[in-house]
Amino acid sequence: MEELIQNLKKEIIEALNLEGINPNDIDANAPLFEEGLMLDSIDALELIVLMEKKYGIKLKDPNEGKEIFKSVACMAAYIQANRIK
Amino acid sequence: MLWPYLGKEVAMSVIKHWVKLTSADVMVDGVEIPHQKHGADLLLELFQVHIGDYPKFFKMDALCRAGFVASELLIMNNLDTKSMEGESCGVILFNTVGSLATDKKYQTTIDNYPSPSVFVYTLPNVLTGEIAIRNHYHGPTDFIVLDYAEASAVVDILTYAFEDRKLNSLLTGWVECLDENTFDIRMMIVEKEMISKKMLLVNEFKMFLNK
Amino acid sequence: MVVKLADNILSPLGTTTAENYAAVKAGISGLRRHDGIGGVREPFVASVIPEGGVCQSGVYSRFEMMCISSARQALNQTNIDPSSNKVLFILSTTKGNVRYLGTNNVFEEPTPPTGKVGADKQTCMPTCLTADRERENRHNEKNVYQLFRENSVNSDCYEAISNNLENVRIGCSARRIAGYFHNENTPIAVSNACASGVCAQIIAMRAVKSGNYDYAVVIGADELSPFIITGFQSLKALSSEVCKPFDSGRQGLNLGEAAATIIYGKSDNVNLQQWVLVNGAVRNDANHISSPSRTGEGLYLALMQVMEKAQQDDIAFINAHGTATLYNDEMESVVVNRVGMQSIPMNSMKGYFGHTLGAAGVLETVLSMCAIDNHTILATRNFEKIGVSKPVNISSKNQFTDKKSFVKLISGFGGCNAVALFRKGGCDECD
Repeated sequence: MEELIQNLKKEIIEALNLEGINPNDIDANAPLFEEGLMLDSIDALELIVLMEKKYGIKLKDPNEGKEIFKSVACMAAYIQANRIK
Repeated sequence: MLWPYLGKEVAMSVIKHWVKLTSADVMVDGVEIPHQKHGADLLLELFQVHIGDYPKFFKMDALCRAGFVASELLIMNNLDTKSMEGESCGVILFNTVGSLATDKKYQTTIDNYPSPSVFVYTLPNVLTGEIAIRNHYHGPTDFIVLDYAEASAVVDILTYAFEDRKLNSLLTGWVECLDENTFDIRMMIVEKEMISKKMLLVNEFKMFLNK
Repeated sequence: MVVKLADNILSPLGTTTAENYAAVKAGISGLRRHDGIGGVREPFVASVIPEGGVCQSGVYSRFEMMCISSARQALNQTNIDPSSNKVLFILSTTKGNVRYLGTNNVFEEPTPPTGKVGADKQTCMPTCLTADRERENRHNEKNVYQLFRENSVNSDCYEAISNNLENVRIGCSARRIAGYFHNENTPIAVSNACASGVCAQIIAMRAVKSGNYDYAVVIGADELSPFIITGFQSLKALSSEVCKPFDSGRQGLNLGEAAATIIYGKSDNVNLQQWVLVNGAVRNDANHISSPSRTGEGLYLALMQVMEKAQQDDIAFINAHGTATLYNDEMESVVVNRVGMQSIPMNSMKGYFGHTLGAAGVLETVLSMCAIDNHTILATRNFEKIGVSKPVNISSKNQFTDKKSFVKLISGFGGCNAVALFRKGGCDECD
């Protein structure tokens, strides 16, 4: 799980062009949207692409993302339970 | 205002505030802005030295980065443009290629994982939106693509825009970008009263593009 | 006053304005489900002009032929000489020839989508246009890059552009389309995303008013391509079913392709049958590049500006953008309430044509004019139960009106919003 969280942080930074942010700057339990990393709706869509690309998980309904993308830890837990690759 | 033009100084009477930003060259109101880097790195350097603390910059595509940095340099160096906001300020930009650089980039993602964050930048008028957001401009924004840089067509379109009686000033100009390292931005501020001097404006705009 | 002189709509529902209006009034839609076509893996619902619906040409691309067919039909209703230097061509499009980005040759036609269209209506074929070699040669004589270089020198960027991908540039398409009509004025291509069609009409109105031109030919068009479809899919903006504007069950938009033309000219004596573009305004949300502002700031400011001197009682209906995305329709309901126009009937055309992008502003204006000519407020197809937070009066079925004005709303990426007010038979405050 720790490893997945670390990888996920790196992948998020790369996918969202989070310039100047290191994996260690991201608190796995902090909210990703509105506060914390201040991600927006387009970032959320890019996270959906990331989940499919890296883990083979397809989100049909973007509203599901609201729960899954609460924090890096939430995302990691969902990925662990649903990953295809 | 004196412009260095084709080796000699030419008096400009209408356009007072302008910026030229190319892959290798930065100039605001005739003054060179010192810099070390080129291309995409130049934009990053200018952003870090002069702007900073605007994380949205890193989300932008190449056209928006170049256009955004140019607009910031133009506005921050002019006392009378700094406080402009609201419905009286608009943005009208022109080029020949639209959002071609990002169109090509998005095209490469289609077959595998189409990228939403790239796709949103496949519309050049997103740049007019980025500038409006940064400066709280609620006036008209337009992005016009012409087949080639024709000064009189540009000035005509600016003239039409000022038919909007609430509009007082326009951030306008020519904004080409072919890839992240190849861009040529020429922006200026045009005020409502300048429009009455149409011929002068056309001539100066022509000169401006040729600088 | 600036009046409409002629118009045309080319869509899966017909190749003339009359055919399109008749289909819409009868409740017919061009929306169909398409499975795995044109290089798009996921199925989608869209309104697509079927194979053969646009004439092929060895000279012009499919997109350009859509524009040319539509403009030609409109011009044929008038005595205007389109080659005159008093005629201005204005093109409204989001992506023009973008489908050729991946190919080397603009005239190498990729296989067009072949969805089953026309199940409930025989699809009409436009009058075929013969590729006119003479015109092509004439056009090529004028090397646009020569002109370009004369105007702009000393820059690597400009040099690179002149050697680069001219076929997909929309300015180039605009030049070719105007060139078909032997028109040599610099055509204006408006690239304001989905708001382009109304922005283009506002520019046309002012160009004619200025006296620079006697006539402005506004062409709005977009064709569907994997580029556009996958893009909207990636934004999760598409509905898997037919779109339901303002409905509580709406899930997103459907895309559509169409070309529409309006020709504007000047008239000092407007007769009762003539349509006047009274005024228009463009305003920016200054909020977000791809989501509408929650308060609808830009659309609110534009609508306030346009309604400043107008009487609400004269307005037959508001033709909304009504894309059927959650946020757009919600935002429009907020704005209409902020301006106090919530009791005026409001409709959306997206259930008939889908979102036709650069064509939408022009197509929906033409259709709204037809509706008032026919004393009708058109139904919002697929609307059943209100699904926005503020009360709005969505027209759910065709109904009678004897009023003579309507307001067109439109919004798009880049935070751009445009509003225009149209009135039949002129008015006191029109100038």
